Amino acid sequence: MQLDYPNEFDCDNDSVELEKQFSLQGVEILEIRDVIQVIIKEVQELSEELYFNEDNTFELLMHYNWNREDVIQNYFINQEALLAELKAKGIFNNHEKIIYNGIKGCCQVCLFEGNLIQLGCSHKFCQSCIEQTIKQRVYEDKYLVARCLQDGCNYRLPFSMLKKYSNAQEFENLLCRRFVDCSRYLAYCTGVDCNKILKPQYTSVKEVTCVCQNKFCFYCKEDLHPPCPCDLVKKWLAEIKKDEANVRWIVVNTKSCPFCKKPVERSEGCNYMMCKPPGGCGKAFCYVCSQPWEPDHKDHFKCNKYVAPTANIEKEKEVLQRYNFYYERFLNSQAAKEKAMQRLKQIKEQYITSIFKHYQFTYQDSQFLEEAMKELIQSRVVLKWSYCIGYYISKTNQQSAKLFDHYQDLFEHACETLAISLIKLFDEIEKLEYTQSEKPIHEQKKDFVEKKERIQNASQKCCKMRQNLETAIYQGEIYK
Amino acid sequence: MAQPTPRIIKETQNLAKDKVQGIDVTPDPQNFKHFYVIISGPPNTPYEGGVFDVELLLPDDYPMSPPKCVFNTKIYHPNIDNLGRICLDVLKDKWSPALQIRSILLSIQVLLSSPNPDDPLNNEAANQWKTNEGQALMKAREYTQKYAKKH
Repeated sequence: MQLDYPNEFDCDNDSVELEKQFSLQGVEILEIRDVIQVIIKEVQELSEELYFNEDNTFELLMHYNWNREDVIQNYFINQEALLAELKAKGIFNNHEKIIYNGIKGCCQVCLFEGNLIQLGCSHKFCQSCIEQTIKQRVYEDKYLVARCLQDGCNYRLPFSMLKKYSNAQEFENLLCRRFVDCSRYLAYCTGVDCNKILKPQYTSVKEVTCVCQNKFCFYCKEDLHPPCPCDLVKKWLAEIKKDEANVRWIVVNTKSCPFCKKPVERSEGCNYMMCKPPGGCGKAFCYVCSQPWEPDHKDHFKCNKYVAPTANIEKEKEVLQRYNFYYERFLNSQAAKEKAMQRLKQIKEQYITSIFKHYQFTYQDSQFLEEAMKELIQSRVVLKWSYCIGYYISKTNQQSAKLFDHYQDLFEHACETLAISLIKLFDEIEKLEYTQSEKPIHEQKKDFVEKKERIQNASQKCCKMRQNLETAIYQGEIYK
Repeated sequence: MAQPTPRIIKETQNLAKDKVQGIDVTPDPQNFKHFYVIISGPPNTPYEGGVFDVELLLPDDYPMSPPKCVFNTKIYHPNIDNLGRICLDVLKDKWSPALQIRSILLSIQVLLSSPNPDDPLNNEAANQWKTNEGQALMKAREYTQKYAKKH
């Protein structure tokens, strides 16, 4: 499919930004009306080629998910059989009998006397009833198909009629959504409230950036997921979806009983947990340390003991636990990434001004904070998805799992170091607002520069470890 | 309350004028969208001799959406569950605004004479129908005797 659009980005002040994006990323950013123009052109061209009217061409294209080659191929293989089959389904109709004006009579739906519209199937209804049906289908059901109101009649109303009696914008949104969903060359931006449509110059492009700064994977239509390959992401997301609600609830609300390993829900606020029969084993333990309630907890509250995980767990529980292990870490990294995003916002809005006010360091001097934070965010994303890889590797290949664990371990450590040093600095910056340090200002400045260096080092190390992990994955050393 | 639409008025009049055999419709004097229906068990079915209370309620956007129907009398039928809900295509996706209350009630009557265990709502009854029809019919007859007799 050849998509050629007039280059009319007349979005006032955004146009410069748009062109920049266009040239930088090789991604065209389209509005809904641009796509509608493409659709209209598609329909016109095909209708001229096949000698059909536009309504019929529309029906064909919708039926074949906007795959023009499919339509043409199927049409030329056996034209009559195809049309007969479609007609039987009510997809390809003769709309010539439609009469909008001049028929009077009683509408069989509302039983009002008045002007009627005759449909292509010869059934007649008043405009208001037809309009109501179309609106219900388009607005509520979000369908671009509406049938004749007569029972048993499978005639589909033509698109020109749907368009005529529905809100133009609503109709176009729906049509555009349908077209984009069918197209391999287009994708909606996944950003919140962003209705832009992205078209990369080359279909091999995977990572795309919208004008709203949202980045996503063009293949999965999900957030970026380095270093995880798309097929694994799909598998993982399906796995999560399968029992996300259950597992999440179990992880958050229950502890496994130290005796029988069943998850036990905490129904009251105190730490006394009874694994209640008939489901449970009837023994009591402490919610905090998972130790038997007797004899230690019986008389006084004491649970500062570190609990080592028990080794002999049954296999089934192990499967769930293994999944939970990775899933929990996946969620944690996700949460940490979101926190980091908030911090990035705070850096821009608050910290840089504070630093300037207190130490007289300029924006350039404190630029490192933003850079380090961005590195941390990127690392959190990679870490998050590395747990997805970890889950599948540990299942299949023990050898590469070890290697992977090694890389991941180093990386996670570097990532945490960076996060901790950043948070420490943020705390200090926040304190600047309301406390006075006793040290003279030049020493404070010196301290700050030292911390800056430490953060920059941590950031570099984190970046290096991240790249090591990514390279190991991409080069097939770990996941094939 | 809103005024009844001409369609509802006309349908109500028609229901009173030409009665369908075996179906008795009484409109609720308080609420023009509410109908009390009594369906007699069709002959040569296990429901013969029984009278079944059915309640019918028209939604606000009637006739764009189908009426809601519920059995108030307990009945043993693969397409009617023990809360009285009915599994019938014309009450759901096969609804067309050109259908009327009368056509819906006729469909329910037909459903009583020809149960469809392949599209069950009451799984237990549907299984019984498929595995041992004789016993199913007997149980349906029992239910009719027990719950659907005139008092």
